[in-house]
Amino acid sequence: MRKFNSKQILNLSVKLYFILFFLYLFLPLVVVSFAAFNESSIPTVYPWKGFTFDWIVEFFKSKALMNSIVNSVFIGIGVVVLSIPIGLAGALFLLSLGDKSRNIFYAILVSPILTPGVIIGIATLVMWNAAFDMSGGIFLSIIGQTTFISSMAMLLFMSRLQKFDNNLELAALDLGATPTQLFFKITLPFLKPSIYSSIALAFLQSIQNYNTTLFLIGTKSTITIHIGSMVKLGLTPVLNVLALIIIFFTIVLSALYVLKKKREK
Amino acid sequence: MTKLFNRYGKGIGIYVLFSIVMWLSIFIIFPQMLMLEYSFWQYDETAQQQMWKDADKLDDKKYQLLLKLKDTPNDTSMKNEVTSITKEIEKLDELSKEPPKEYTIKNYEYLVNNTLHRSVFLKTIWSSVFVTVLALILCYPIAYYLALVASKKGKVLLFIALIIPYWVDELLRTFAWFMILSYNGVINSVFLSMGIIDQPIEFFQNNSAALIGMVYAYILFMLFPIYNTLETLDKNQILAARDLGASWLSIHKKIIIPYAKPGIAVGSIFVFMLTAGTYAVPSILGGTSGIWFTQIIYSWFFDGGNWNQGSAYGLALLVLCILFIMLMLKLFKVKLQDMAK
Repeated sequence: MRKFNSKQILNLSVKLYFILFFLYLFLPLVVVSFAAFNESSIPTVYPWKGFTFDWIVEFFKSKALMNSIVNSVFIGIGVVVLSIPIGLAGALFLLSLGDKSRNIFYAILVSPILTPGVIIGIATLVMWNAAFDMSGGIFLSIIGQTTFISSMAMLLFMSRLQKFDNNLELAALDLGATPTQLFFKITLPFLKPSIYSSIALAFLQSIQNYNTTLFLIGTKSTITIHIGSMVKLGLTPVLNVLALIIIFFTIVLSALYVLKKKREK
Repeated sequence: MTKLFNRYGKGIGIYVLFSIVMWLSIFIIFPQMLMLEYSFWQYDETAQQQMWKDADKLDDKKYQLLLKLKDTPNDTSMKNEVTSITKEIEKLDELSKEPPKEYTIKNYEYLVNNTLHRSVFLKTIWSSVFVTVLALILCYPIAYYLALVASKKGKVLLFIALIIPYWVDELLRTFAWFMILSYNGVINSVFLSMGIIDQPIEFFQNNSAALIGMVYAYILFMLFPIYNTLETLDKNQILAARDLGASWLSIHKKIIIPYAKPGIAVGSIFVFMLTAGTYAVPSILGGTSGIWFTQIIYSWFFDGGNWNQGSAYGLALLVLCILFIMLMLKLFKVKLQDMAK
């Protein structure tokens, strides 16, 4: 009887813990989203001053915000264009090396992920300034972000390539395919799913980046830089509208991602 | 290397090689090397000031000579002297535009000797360790349950629930806590109106807000690596141990935690690195007193205009992170290559 009770208590406390954990994760997001509809001119949910769509209208009217969204998208596209080919090259390169040299190069090519974003920002700024007398802006932001997003893309490609059945290549070669044909007809189609997912990852990582971009953006602005300066200088619920939109897209993307992964299994 | 060319042909081989060389040099190695170089010199401003003084003195001398020349306009030796002095002044002007570099370890000494900066650096270390440990403790039960206990259907739902906050911007998540914890924030308003407190709590002035925000921002970087490792654990091991009468505690201690080691190491590395290197969270939730090391680095670059000093500080942060990674890899006996998963 007692044993049963202690088990019940354990179960109950596990459940309670789960509820608290998810409350901790979600409550802030809920608060941020709801404040987008509160009439109060500072972002809050309490006191509730009345329901309004004004902030959403305001959001689309804000030129600075729209401008920073355009910059973010532009940087994101630049990062995708650079980091996907680089990441793919990295994966192909590492897998063609012997064990010993592979470990060394692996450590170097993965290091940007393990380096604080601030450091990547500084190093990029210092080098481009010293070598080409360049100062911060869209271009340097793309360069800095590409440094570590390429590593992420590389890891995605590597895990896909490790599942590759080498017999496919041998068969193609037996049938008289040239090495270049082999790459475009066999390897690349095999990599397709990971190309899509690495594009999504690279774009998402680029749009959300703050620590590296902060050092490289110069006088321009991106979504995250804009949020950062708004929180410090002039906070209005327009920011909550932005949060609401980002959270909405994240929910849709997450659901799609998990369902797709489930189907793959 | 030749394997690459044999396998995919010349065109692809060249593309791969070119990309790797570019990535390694322009993106990864040169920037870091240059930051390292920058951290070891300072503009020698006293030498620059000396040059200005010398140039002034020469200017005076030239003026005197010109005055004398008015009386004796045909003195060629004096004329020659004037032109040589003019040349020398021009040379000094040119040189003093960019002050000479002086290689030194002053930038690092400054960090060690400045009590404020040193204490912020140390605070960043222990706070990051604290956040890492807290994240580990909070995540372990969730990762364990998700990987080994939850039903397949529940897993999908829980996974979606976890990925949503993971994918929302770090900055927005921090902003959310700003709304909740600020002076006029949700917690203070609710507690005030309920009469639980009679004065708003200033979460920003002590470090509590920043620490809550950091745990919140990076906790899922701990959860997913541990989950990924535990998911590959053969559940029969647990069942067997239970059949043999092992207690709940010793199953965790002897089977699950040792198995989770690589995940714990990777998670800890990420959380520590992200926490020590964050600028967003402390700048929004840090208040006036709670400065973080990254904020000092930022101000060296953009408020103080001393990039050399900033580079040295950046390098100190980088070395700290590298040491932590090495410690974790050694402590948990994991190799860097296992991190790809």
